[in-house]
Order: sequence, then C-alpha cells, then structure tokens
Amino acid sequence: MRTWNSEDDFDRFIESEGIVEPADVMPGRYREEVFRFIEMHANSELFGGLCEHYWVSRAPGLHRKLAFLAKTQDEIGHAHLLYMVAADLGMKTRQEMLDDLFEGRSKFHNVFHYKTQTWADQIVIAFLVDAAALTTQQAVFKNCSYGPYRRILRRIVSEEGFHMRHGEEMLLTLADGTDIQRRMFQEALDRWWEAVMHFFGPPTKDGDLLIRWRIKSETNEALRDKYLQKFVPMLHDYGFTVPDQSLHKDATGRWAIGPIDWRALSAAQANAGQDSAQRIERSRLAWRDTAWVRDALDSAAVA
Amino acid sequence: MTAPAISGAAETVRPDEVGVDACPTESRATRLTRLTRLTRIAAAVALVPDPELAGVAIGSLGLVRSVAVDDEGVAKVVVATTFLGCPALDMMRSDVAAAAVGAGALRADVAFALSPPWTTDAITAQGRAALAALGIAVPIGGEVVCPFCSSRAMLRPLAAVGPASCRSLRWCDSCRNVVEVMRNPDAASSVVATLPSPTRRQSYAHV
Repeated sequence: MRTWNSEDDFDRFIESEGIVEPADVMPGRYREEVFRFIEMHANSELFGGLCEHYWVSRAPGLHRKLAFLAKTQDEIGHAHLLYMVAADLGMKTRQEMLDDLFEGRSKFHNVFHYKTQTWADQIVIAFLVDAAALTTQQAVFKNCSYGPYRRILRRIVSEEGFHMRHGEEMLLTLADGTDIQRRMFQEALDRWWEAVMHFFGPPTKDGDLLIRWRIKSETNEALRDKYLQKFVPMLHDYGFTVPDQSLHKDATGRWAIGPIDWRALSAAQANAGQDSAQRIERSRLAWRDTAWVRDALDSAAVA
Repeated sequence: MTAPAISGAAETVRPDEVGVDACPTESRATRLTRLTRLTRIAAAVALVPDPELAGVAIGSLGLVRSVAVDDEGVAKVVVATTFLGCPALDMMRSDVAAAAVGAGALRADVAFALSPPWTTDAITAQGRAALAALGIAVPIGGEVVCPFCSSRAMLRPLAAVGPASCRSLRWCDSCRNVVEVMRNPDAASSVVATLPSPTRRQSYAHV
C-alpha cells in the first residue's frame, strides 16, 4: 500500500511509469476517473454482447450463428471481468452499476444507440466498430496506469483481435458476393460511418485527466487518424466508397476526413439516440429473463 | 483365355533386376530431405499462435496430436480441440494449413480430434508460462496459483465459465486481480463447431 502526499507527488509517480494497485491510497479524482472509464467500458461490452446475441438467431447459417454465440459469450465475459475490477474501486457495487445502466443513468458506447437494419449493419459493427474498439483499447492497454485494468485488457485485446479477423472474413464474403450483397454493405457503411468516426470521441481537451494520469495515453484525434490510415485504404481495396465528400490525402500523404457533425454523438451520450430507449429496455429485460440461469449457476459448484 | 499382350519395359526384365535388392528405394539424401521437411512442418505447426490467446502456441497447449507428410508432400495434421464449441477452430484450421504450406508442404489437410478429449494436463511447461503471462492459470493437481502474485489460497471462484468456454473466472483476494483458470471440457460442449464452414472448401475428415 502506497500513499502520496499531494496530487503533484501522484503526478510524478504516474509520469515515472508508476502502476497504481487497488490497495494504494490513490487521489479521489483518480479513483473516480478510472472507475468511470472502466464502468463505461464494461457497459459497452455488455451491450455489445446483447447486440451480437440479437443476431444469433438471424445470422445466415449455422457457422455464423455459432460464431455469434461464442462472441456473445466473449463480450459478456469481458463485461464480467470489467465489472469486477470497477466494483473493487469501491465507488459502486456491480448491482448498482447494472441498475444505473438499466435505468438509463449510465453511459455506453455510441454505436449501441442505433438500430441495426440489415445483416450488413452487423458486419460493419463486427469489423469496423470492433476494429475501432481494438484501436482504442490497445492504446489504453499499452500504458494504462491502473494495474488490474491493464492486466484484463491484455486478454480482452487478444480476443477482440480474433473478433476483428472474424469480422473481416464476413466482410470478405459480402465484398466477394453478388451486386446485391455488395450494395447491402455499401449502404450499411453509409449509415454507420459517422458513428464509427464518433466512436473515438470529440477532440481531447487540454488538461484531460485521463491523459494526465495515463488511464489512456493517446488523444481521440490521434486514434481516429491512426484508424483512418489503416481502414480507408482497406475499404478502397474491397471496392467500397467511404461516405465522406471531403475525404482526401493531406500534404503528408495521410488520409483526412472533413469536419465531423457531433450532434448525433451528443444525443447518444444523453441516452437520447435513435434506439437508446429500446436498447436499454431490452438489456433490462435480458437481465430479468436470465435471472434463473444465474441462480442455477450460483448454486452449482464452480470449477 | 489368351495371355495379355506384354509390351514396354516388362519385356526386357532380367532375373537380377527383380527382388529385394533391386527394389527401388529412396536415396539417403531424399530420405533426409523428407524427414527434414516433416520435422520442419511439425515445428511450424506447433508454433501456430492460438487465435484467441496472444503469444500462446498451439503446440504448447498440447493441441497438436500428429503431423505426417506423404510422398506427394501433402501434410496431414490432427489437432485436438479444447472445447467442441470453440469458435476459433476455423481460424486454427487455416492458420495450421498456412504454416504447413509455409514450411514446405504442397498442401495440408487439417482434422480435429474429438477423442480422446483434450485436458489441461496436455499443456506444456512453456504453455503454462505463456498463459500465466496473460493472467491465465492452469491448475496443477487441482491447485490454482495466482499468476500475478503467486498466492495459493486467496483465489475465490467468480464464475464457472468466463469469456471463453475453456476458462473459469476467479478473483484473487490477495492482489485484487481477476484471474482466468483453464478448465477441462465437459459434456455440455456442443458438437456443432466441428461442422464445416459454408465459406470454406478445403477437405478435411473427422477423426
């Protein structure tokens, strides 16, 4: 157990690559920031799992259904890991976090505030959104100052890499398919591209506490830029059009997009997106309807 | 019945050209080449990374049951599955085939062995170390040691199944980290994972 006399001392500890452990007497604001960050990640994994679960019965073919079933288990498992680490910070219990989520008092990632209309929408989520999530998580994992979070991220990042490969395989099937399949993916890309750009968040402000305390190490713009360099050429290779009139290569040869309209993100962050209310309600019902499974598992011997 | 017409080389066979001494055998150099190729392919297959566990080779998980190469250079690889419902099987199949071809096989047939079932006992010492680096413990004689702080008695069960069917979750009360523990397959596993993917056309057989 370590203590710091002032926030300045703590800053120096963080600057010198220090790793904070749960028993340390950390500054209250650090505890809050790291808790909020992990809680949001946990909520998003849970919603990701529910989103994928919705597609288990709808995915084409047994093979895809099985993959979605397994991914659902991954995401719910990730949420489980994250809620444990978050609860250990002592701000809220796991049940309080879930209650807040189901009552619409918590945040989760913007992409889960919209409807998936076609199978191609789900492929955009499975590939482009998972890849965006992987980009941000990897940046956190690399240098996060909170030890237990960093340790579970290592495993989460490994598994998300596997999801991304799976997503690309599904994209390849559509890209290599009929005109109807290709059009279906292009339309889904048109619908979701803005949300994917929003996923990285608005420009990081100066003095951002997450950056200052190395909860994350890269700014939102830097991650968005990194993502564009990898995925714009990839989408072009597959013969799809990135739906941004202002997309261009800048003087240094890097892909750049036009100005981003943040209105949809603001609505999502206020849980007032196109599908926010229904998603929250569905998550509440899913939790209620699976109570008997948890009861059964709790009473069974644990391996 | 008339004897079949004999033509070609058989007509000119002399007695000293048949029998065990005259039986054509591979030259030693060819044999060594073949052995080397088999060894090379087996090594490459063992080093294929697990699709879900960064830095953990399938050989060190004890998943590679056998590797053989026939005269044409076609590799036959048999891989065990940790869980029948494992979603990584398809990727494992293509990664293993690619590794075998990369090491000199003409092509590779990859089959999954359902029996005898894989258990955590098959994980090698190297595999245990690689898993521990990820925060995943392998029970030894039923005992679980925290991969983060080496505590033995402080691991509280959290969930029978974690993010993957092959791992359960525990909480270390000593260092307050979430630990995943490799578990043995059970009867609840599904067999559907072994069905072929509709998008792949490689041939493979059930073992």
